[in-house]
Amino acid sequence: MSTALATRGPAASPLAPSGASRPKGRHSRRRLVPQWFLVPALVLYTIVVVYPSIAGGLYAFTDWRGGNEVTFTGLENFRKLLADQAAVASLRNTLLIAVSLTVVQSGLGLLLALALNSAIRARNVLRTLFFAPMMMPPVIVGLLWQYIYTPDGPLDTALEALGLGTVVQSWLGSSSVALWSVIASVIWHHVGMSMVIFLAGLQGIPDELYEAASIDGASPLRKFFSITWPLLGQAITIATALTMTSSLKLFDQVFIMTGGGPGVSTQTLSLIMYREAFVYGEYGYGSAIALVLTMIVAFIVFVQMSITRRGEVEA
Amino acid sequence: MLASLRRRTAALASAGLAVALMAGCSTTGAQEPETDPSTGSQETTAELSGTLTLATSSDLGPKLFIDDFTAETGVEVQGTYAEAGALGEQIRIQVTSGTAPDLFRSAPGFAAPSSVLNLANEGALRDLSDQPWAQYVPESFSRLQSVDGETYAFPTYGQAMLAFYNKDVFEEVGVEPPTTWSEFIEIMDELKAAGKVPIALGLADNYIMQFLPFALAGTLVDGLEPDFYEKLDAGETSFVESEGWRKTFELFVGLVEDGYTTPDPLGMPGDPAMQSVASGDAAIVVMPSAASPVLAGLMTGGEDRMGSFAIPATDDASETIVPFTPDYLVVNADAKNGDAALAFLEYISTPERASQWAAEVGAIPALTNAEPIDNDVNRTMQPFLSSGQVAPFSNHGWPGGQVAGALMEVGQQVVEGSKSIDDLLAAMDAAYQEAMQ
Repeated sequence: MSTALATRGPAASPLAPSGASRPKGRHSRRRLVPQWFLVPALVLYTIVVVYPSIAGGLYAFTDWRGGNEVTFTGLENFRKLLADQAAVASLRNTLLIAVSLTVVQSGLGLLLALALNSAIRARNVLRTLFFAPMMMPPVIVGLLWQYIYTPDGPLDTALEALGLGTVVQSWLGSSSVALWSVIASVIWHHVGMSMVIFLAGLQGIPDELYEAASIDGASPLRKFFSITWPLLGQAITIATALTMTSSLKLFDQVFIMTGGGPGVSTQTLSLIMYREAFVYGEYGYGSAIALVLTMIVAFIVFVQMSITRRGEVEA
Repeated sequence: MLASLRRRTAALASAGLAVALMAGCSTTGAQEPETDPSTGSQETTAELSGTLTLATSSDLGPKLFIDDFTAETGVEVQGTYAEAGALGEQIRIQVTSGTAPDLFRSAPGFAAPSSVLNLANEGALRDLSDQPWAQYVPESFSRLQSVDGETYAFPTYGQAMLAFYNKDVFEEVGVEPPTTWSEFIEIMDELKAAGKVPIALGLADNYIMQFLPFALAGTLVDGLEPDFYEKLDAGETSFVESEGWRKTFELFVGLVEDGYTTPDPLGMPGDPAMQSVASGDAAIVVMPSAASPVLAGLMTGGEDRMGSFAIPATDDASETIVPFTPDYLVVNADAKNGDAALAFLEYISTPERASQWAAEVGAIPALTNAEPIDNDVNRTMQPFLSSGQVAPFSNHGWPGGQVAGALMEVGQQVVEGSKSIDDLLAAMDAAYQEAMQ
């Protein structure tokens, strides 16, 4: 873009003498000016993002424990990771969280968006209400839901009042239930974001398409699958990619609500990465976990985006 | 509910402090100070100047003395205060990068990457053995702050692992604080019969998994197997072979299985558990004394209605050992104003000031010559401190956080019933060996 502007500038000038040509050196210096403005940002980006990322990646191949002694250990940290039962359980939990959050949160977000894209009178109030939890910090959401799940707490009381006392159980104290309890709280927190993305997608679909379909006698279901779903392709790609990325990195709510327990039942890769580096001082091993997590996130999101982009259709 | 959340947030901050406690510029010159024979303290005759950089977990203690210290010495104190866990992470990085403050808070032993012994072994701390207050450091702290017989930390104050109870509940049921295990079980039965939860236990916050076992291990391990850690380090014994640790977990799990604790302790977070004692639904909560001001604040009658006692683990009251552990200040080996740092420690080490600092943060004075504080926790602890029946929190002597991690992780599974005490002890052995590498 900067090149185009620099080229167009002189040609468009009414003061430029006919047939006159500028010296080449001066011309190319002027072309470079916009690029020099990028230098401070690039230097800052290199210092704050590029260098730490590369250094972190390199530490993954060392036994660094925070001091000044660093020894290159090759793939030792990765061998340790594969043999670490807690890490394997964490990987399983992380993938389970990512898949279930992506499917359920995106599904619920789409349903909410479809409902609130209609002409119901309270739609603006409801949109605000469903989006409101997104404004809360994850730590507060974690504390709130830990309180809701307390034995004989608000959830148990509500269920019993509804005659569903048999459903009551140890929401955070049972290994088989705790992970799902955490996932439910994350969905409550983030479903508003998915809803907003789908709403934006729905509002970009021209009404004329629905009107034409109505004239042709299409049913609501037919309209959804033939018009809405294909034209929501970009929104689906964005919503699922964002959900997948954030759920693979999930930390705050797990850390606050269960600390990874009971046992290892809610541990995630982010949680053990934090624990190894900042609690145990195993910065090298923590960096190895971070590197593996980054690669997993990059791979899964790449595959997921490749699939969803195939279904994208321009309106 | 909002009020409850606010209370819980405040309690979380305090509990965080308790957990962290568990885990855990310019130049000048100085002349030789003179020692006061009555207190061991030295009059600061040194010529000091410049700025002293200080980082601790709370400004409550330092702010008592900073102005007077500055007036007396001319040294400006530049304080940084942060939650203990976050401060420890920050200090670890600063030490490596050479930007750590002159004087900073450090956790005991090897509990965290920025703990005293980890930093001392790296040569990052100044040897404080020749300081006048060093003679008043309790003997039980030596393995938390000494390397090759040299001391590297100043114990600012201490905290104990005690049982805190609601006096109204005890009076209503007609029970007294126990001194033996049999008496303890008797009052458990009476409290339970009266419809009270005898012990509030919130294991959904996994760090609480350590409290009751540590309280029991003081007597059963440090008291009855005093050479356990020496033998463990020498490879002559293990957690699996330790009668003390096995008994500790048997008693703990027995309390849960016999219904003496909160029903579904794994589903109950720590703060609501503490609140149940304040409300009178439960009678006792076991926790570090640093968290006791939060409980006192929740109780209708405040501090006056909260009592404390040492948890017995045998039927011989004289065998009871109370876990008592320090919070430290250490001097950066590369301090830009090291003389001012030493002078500040000397300034706060007088019997009166050491006591004032501890009282301000709701703790127990750590130096043996400090003036006693007249409150419930200090009255409970005084006989044990006087007779030396104290031992550090178990995890502070362990070579890394991995052992406590194993205790919390597998301990929860033992409570849930999916693992055995043997599994737990084996996991602690494996973690200990891993941390030793």
